[in-house]
Amino acid sequence: MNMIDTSLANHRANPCPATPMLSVDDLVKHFRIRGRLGRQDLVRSVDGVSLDVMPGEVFGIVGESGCGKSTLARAILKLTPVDDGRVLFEGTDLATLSGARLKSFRRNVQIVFQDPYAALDPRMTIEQSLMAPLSQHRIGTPAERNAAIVAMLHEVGLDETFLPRKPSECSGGQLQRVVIARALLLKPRLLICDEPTSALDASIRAQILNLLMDLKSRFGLTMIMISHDLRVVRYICDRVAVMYLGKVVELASRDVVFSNPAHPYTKALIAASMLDSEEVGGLPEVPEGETPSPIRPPSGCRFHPRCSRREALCGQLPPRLDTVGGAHWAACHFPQSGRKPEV
Amino acid sequence: MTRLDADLGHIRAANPRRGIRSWTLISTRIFRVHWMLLIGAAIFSTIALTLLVTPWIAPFDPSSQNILKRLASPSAAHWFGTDQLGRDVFTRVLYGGRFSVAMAAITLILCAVVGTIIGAISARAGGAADELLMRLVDLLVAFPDVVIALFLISVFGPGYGTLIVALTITGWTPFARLMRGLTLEVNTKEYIEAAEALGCSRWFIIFRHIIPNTLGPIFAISFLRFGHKLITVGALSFLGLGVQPPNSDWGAMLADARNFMDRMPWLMITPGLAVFITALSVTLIGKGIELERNRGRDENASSPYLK
Repeated sequence: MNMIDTSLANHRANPCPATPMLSVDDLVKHFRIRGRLGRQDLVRSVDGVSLDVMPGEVFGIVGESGCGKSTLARAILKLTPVDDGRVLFEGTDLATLSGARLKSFRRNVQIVFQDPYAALDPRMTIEQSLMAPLSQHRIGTPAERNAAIVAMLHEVGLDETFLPRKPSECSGGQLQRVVIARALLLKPRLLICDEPTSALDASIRAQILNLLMDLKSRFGLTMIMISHDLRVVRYICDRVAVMYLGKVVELASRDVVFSNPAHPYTKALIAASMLDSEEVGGLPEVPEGETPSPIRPPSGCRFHPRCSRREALCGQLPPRLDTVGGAHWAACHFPQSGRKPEV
Repeated sequence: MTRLDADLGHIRAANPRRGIRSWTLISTRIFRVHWMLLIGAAIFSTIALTLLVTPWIAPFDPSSQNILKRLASPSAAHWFGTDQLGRDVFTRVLYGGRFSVAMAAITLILCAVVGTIIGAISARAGGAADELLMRLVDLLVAFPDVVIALFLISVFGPGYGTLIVALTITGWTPFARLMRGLTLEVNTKEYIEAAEALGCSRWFIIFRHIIPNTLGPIFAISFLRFGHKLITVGALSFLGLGVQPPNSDWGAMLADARNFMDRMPWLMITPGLAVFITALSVTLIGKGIELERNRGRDENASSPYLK
C-alpha cells in the first residue's frame, strides 16, 4: 500500500479487511444559531468526519470540549438529523430508517450519558426507568421483565433494594450503574459511552471503567468511548481518533497515538495530560492561545494559528486525513516523523 | 447507679416526650407552608364542603316561593333576606354556588387537560405542526373568550353543557402556551434523549416523562385561572346563557337582583361576595403553590450534587 493509493481511496481510515460494524462517512452537522443583528451563524460542530468502528473493538474519540465529540455520538444514534454524509450501521444507512426499523436499530445501539443525574427521570423510580425499555419494545412477559431487571442490576453491581428508590436517593456512581444497566437491558451490540466518568468522583471513575470493560467482554460489546481524558482512553481503547474543531486530526491504534503522535495537536494533548507523570521530560509543548470558535474556524488547517510547526501552506490548504504509515492516519501537512516507527 | 443506668434513665425520661415532639413536628410542617396557601386552602375547603352538603343543611327549598315575605331584609330566619319571589337568598346562594363552582371546576379541568396535551404535542412535534398550533392559539387569544362563547352558544343553544364546551374551546390556550414552554425546557434534559435512544414511543415520552415533570407550574396556573373561569361562567349566566331557570347560579342571581338593587342591595351583594371570596381563596392557593415551589427551588438548587 503506497501513499498515492490511500490518498485516492475516499479518505477512509479502514485498516482492517473485516467489514466495519459502524461506518461514518464524511459526516457534517452544522447548527444554525442566531447571531448579532439577526444574522444566522453556522456552528460547524462536525465538519466532515469519516471513521470505521470494527466489531469487538473499543474505539476512543478524544478532543477538548466543544470539538464535536458528543454531536458525533448523537448523529451515530440518529438522535439528531445530519446535514451531509451518512452513518452506516452494519451496512444500513441510518437516514433510511424510520418506524419499526428505527426501533429495532435502537436495540442494537445504546448510549451511556455523561451526567447520570440528568440521564434518569427524577420522578421515576429506578424500577420504572429500567422497565421502560423492555415494556416499550414488548420484550418478555411482566414476570420475565422483572427477572431481567433484577439480573441486570446484579450484573452492574447493584441489587433489588434499588428498585423502589428515586434517583435523588442514590449516589452518582450508583446512578451511572443504573444508566449502564438500562442501556444493556436491550442487549445492544454497540455501546456509546459519552464521557461516562467525567461527572463522577475520582474514586468512582476506575470502578465504572472496570465495570464497563468487564461488561464489554461478558456481553461481547463493541464500544465507542468518548472522552476528553486521555488517561481513560489510554486505559481502555484499542484505537483512538483525535478530534479538533469538528474534524478528525489523527486516527491510529492506541499504542501508536501515545508513543508516536504525528499531529502536533495530539502531541500537545498528550503532553498536557502527562504533566504530572515523569514520562515526558522537560516542559511540554503547550499550544498557544485559545481554541478558535467553531463558528469561524481558521482557514487552511484549523490548528495552524496555535501550531508551533506552521508554515505558509498551513494557513491556505486544509490538510487531508492521510496515512503516515500503515494504519496510522493524520491530517497534517508536516506530520511528525523521525521518532521511532509504530509499535 | 452506674453510668449505663444513668444513660438509660435519660433515654427513658426522654421517651414520653417523643409523642409530643412528633405532634409539634407535624404542626410546624403545616405552618411552614406559605400563609397564602394555608388561608386559601382553609377558606376554599370550607366553601367546597358547605356546597357539597348543601342539600342536607340548607334551611329552605331554593325554589319555594312566599310572596308575602318578598324582598325581606336579613333576619334570623332568612340570613341573607328574601328575593322578589320570597325565596330564601341564603339557600339560593348555596345552591347557586353548586352550579357556579362545579361548572368553573369542570371547565378548568377540561381546559388544563386539553391545553397540557396540545402544548406538549406542539413542542415535541416542532416544525410546521408546532407553528400551526401556536398560530391557532394566537387566533383564539385575539378574540375575547366571552365573544367566542356567545357565538358558540348562539349556534348550539344555551345550557350548561354548551357553556362548558364553549369555555373549554376558548380556555385551553394559556395552558397550551405555558406547557409548550415547559416542554421545550424539559426537552433539553438528557433523560428525554435517553428515552429516545431507548426507542420509547412519543406518547410514552409525553405522558411518562414530560407531563410528570411539568405538573407543578401547570397546577399553580390551574388554581390561578380558577377565579377567571368562575367570573366568565358568572358573566355568561348573567347574560342568561348558562344555567336555565328554575335553577340558578351566582351569575343568574346577580342578573335577577339588578332590578331591585336600590331597594334590596343584599340580593346583589351576597352572590357577588360569594364569587369574590371563592375566587380569592382559590387564587391564594395558586399563588401559595407558586411561592412554595420557588422557595423549594432556592433551597435545593444544587441538591442532586449535595445529597
